[in-house]
Amino acid sequence: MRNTHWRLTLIAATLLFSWASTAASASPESAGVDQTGPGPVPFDAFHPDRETPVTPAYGGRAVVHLSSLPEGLNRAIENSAVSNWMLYELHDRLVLQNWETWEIEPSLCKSWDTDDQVVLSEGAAAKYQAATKIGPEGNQRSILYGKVSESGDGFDVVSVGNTTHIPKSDVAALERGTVFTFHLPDNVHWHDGHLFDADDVLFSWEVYNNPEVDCDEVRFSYQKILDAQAIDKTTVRFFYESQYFKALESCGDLCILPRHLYDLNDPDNKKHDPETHAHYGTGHEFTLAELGDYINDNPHNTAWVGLGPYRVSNWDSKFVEAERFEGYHAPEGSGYLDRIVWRHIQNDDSSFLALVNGELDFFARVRSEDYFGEGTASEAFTQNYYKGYFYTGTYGYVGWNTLRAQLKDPSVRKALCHAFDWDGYLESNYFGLGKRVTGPQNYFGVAYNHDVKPMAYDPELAEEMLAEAGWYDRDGDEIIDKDGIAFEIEFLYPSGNKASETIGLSLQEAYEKLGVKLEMRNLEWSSFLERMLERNFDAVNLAWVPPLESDPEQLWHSKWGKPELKSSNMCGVMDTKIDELIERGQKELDTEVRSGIWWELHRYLHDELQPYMFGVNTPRKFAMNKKLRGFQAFKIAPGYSIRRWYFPSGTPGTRPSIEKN
Amino acid sequence: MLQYIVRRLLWTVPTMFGIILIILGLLHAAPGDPATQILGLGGGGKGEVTQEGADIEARIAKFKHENALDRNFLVQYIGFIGPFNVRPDGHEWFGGDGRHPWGGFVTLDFGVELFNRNQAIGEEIRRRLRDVTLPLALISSFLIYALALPIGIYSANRVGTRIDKVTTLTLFLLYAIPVFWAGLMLQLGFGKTLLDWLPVIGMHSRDADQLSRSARLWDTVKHVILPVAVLTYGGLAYLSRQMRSGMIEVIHQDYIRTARAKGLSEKAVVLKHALRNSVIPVITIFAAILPIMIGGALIVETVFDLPGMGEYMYKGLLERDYNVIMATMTLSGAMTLVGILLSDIAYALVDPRISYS
Repeated sequence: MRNTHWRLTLIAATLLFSWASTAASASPESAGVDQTGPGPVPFDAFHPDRETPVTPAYGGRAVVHLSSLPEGLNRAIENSAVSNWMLYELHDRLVLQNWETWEIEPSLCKSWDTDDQVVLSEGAAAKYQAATKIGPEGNQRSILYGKVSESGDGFDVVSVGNTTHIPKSDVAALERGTVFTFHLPDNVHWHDGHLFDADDVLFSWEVYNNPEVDCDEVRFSYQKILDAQAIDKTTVRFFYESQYFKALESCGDLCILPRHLYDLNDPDNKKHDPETHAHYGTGHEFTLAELGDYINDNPHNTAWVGLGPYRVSNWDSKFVEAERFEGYHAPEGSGYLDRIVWRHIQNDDSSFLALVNGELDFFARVRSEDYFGEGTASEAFTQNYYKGYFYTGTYGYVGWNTLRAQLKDPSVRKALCHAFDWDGYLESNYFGLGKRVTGPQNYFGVAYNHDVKPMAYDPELAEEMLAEAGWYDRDGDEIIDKDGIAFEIEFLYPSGNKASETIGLSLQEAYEKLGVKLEMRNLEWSSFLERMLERNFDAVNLAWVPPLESDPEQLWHSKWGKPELKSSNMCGVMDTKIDELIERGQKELDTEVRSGIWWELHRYLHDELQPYMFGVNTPRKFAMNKKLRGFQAFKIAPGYSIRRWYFPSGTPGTRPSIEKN
Repeated sequence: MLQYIVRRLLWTVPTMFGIILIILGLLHAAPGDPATQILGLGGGGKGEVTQEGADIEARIAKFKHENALDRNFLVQYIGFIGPFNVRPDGHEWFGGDGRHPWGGFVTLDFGVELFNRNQAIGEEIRRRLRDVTLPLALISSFLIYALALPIGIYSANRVGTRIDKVTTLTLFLLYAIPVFWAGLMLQLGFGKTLLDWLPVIGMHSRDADQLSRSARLWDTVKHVILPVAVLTYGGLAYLSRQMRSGMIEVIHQDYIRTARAKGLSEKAVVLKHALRNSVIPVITIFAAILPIMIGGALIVETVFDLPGMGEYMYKGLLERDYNVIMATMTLSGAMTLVGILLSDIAYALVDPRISYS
């Protein structure tokens, strides 16, 4: 899974308004939708005929809504959530996080080995025959790798049955779990029929080392890998520089590119001259810029050639169509459907209309007005569709600019949290489906600290805390002030976002009673981002979609909190304890111990710093064609797996087996 | 006349330069810029703000350099107008390496999309105009005239009657209805939510690729009925009012009274004598309507999810794709200028009293 990355999303307007009933067609508890932690996920939990057993059939087509169309599918340069989701069907990864157990499992690879790395001190390498030199020039190191155990005055390194003893004096560092060897099958073909091998994997990592490739947003993730080697056609090895809890996920999630289509130096590339090993017809060697541009502007970024069970057959401004790839290497895991169509409709109202009019089979941005209103109660809807919801860890928050004079004192920020009746807000707007969130990890994951309880609604206490912090009305203008500064906050939110508007209005009303003036400012998305990244705001309202376990560095480490940086730590959190916890957590490989660290981080952020007023985790509401079965609501984004969907046996156009007669 | 046309055509050139200058100026004055989009933030949450270790500043600088967005306003302006390509691979006069020295609108090169460099904007505009916008605009224009003229004439000949009042009220109501609302209402009314008579989204049904050619054509016809209706009703209301008032004015002229006095039938008086003169302003309006319909179909194309030029312009605006915005808006401006020119020429052709000397 691509879990290292946080995703910023607008709080969907679908979250709010007219939450008039919870008339879902199944009890969410029984459906397992609310369950935290891993476990089996029931099929068709919201389907009205879920009790009737059906036999899956092969064939048919599903039309799935897309709210934004990615520019391409090459994830090295296209860093969108949507492309990542589409690639679940159109591509394969070395390893995959099991949707239900959350375990990392082989997917494209047959298996992998994880080894430790002993970094030898200077001059010690000559003593060991098995020592290997890794890393780019200027950052080379000599290492021994294998299973490392402490033994006497040093370490025993067991590799391929041989044990090497290394005294501690020869050891510069021990990095556990930093060498990954993936064993690949030898019979996997790309969608164009070309044979896949270890060189493809190696090339896909090398892409990130070319500064001309437009992958700066994700480059850092793969630069943690010090070296990689294709041992033979079916074995590839990655060496991480240091211990990192997401190392396996990260290298296992590498977007593998077909080298023959993306590398000008590949002998199988049409532009490569096998005689001169240079540009066909010109004889000159490829420059980094040429190699980079070839990847950036490659037509296969949309005309995707992948390794997944479906291959792209058409791509235009409205549709991305994919058809079954007959040569998929793992037929038992290929999908039931013969075709998947992603249909791009930007406007949610139009999308819902398209659904009701039979143009979509699945739409996961149903607005609350429609979900609880006439939209999904009408015969036009109920005849062909059913509705449901699922959680993927999304949570909304109000982020405070801690560099502002009014907001730099944590007790002031805590007072602002005490002043707002979150429970009342949740009740009136979410009718039990939303969940109060107190920290930055995924509510359903093991890294979330459920012991941290939300701050109580207590406006009197809030007033006292503000007064203690020196904020009270000195000049009688009904706005509290301190050092000549009136407590006025500009609340920034993206225009057109009804959820943000509602929360802003509620805050405005609550804070007015405290003498805090909150001014609402809605901005068009691009302008909103500019203001936020430039730290030109007091308060912002947004949402994050964290993976099941996220690396908190991006949001909270002080190195990203400096005001001159355009970063996700826009609140300007710079705290040594936070930094220490993050750095410790990143190196901790034991999940239980690491969870303890994240829990402490969670507690500290909520109880001590309060840089965010953490909001609510809200479900995504979907509508689905009743004829389609096999829907499971996963906690891993996007929350569903299309290749598990099917039409029941007997549906016209389907067949009992994957083979077409 | 020829001299007048040439003079007007020559004036079109500086006017276009002015239009481009204003559009580029507005783009620069507006908050938000394309470089923000490359952080992966386009379309309301496509990705992350930024990530640990991500060299965002370097990425932004590279993006700006590649697309000449780091050049001063004047150079960018020249880049859009042409004939010089001012990007790094452009003309040596502008610091380029000379690989592609020419470009810009005067060479009919609209460039490529900022975020998808494989997509030539000119090609995309041509496709969208050909497949969606132009056919819709032409059908709507035809319907506007086919309906507005008889309605206007009919009303003018029954001034003050109940039917005239009802027609007037109805047309004013139509004229006042916002396009997006009308589109939505028609979708709700004619779609599966109520009558289930017509498809309400897109240009084709989801299974259109499996239909025979004739069935596919019929499918397309059904899909364009509602968008055409929405594109038509506003112009229809406006034009029929124009026709009515023109007709009423002409009907009270002396020569019409003379025609009647000569004993001509009412039909001959209206259709032969009155119509010819009252239709002049209405015909000339056509030249102004067409470019507005092509450039202004943004709302209709968005509501009905049609991949036309208006939708392309909207996408460009959302993504801050300067190249797309400049190309689509400049083209709209150019079409409007051509429309005005045609309108003036049409005036001269149909009304010999007008002199352009």
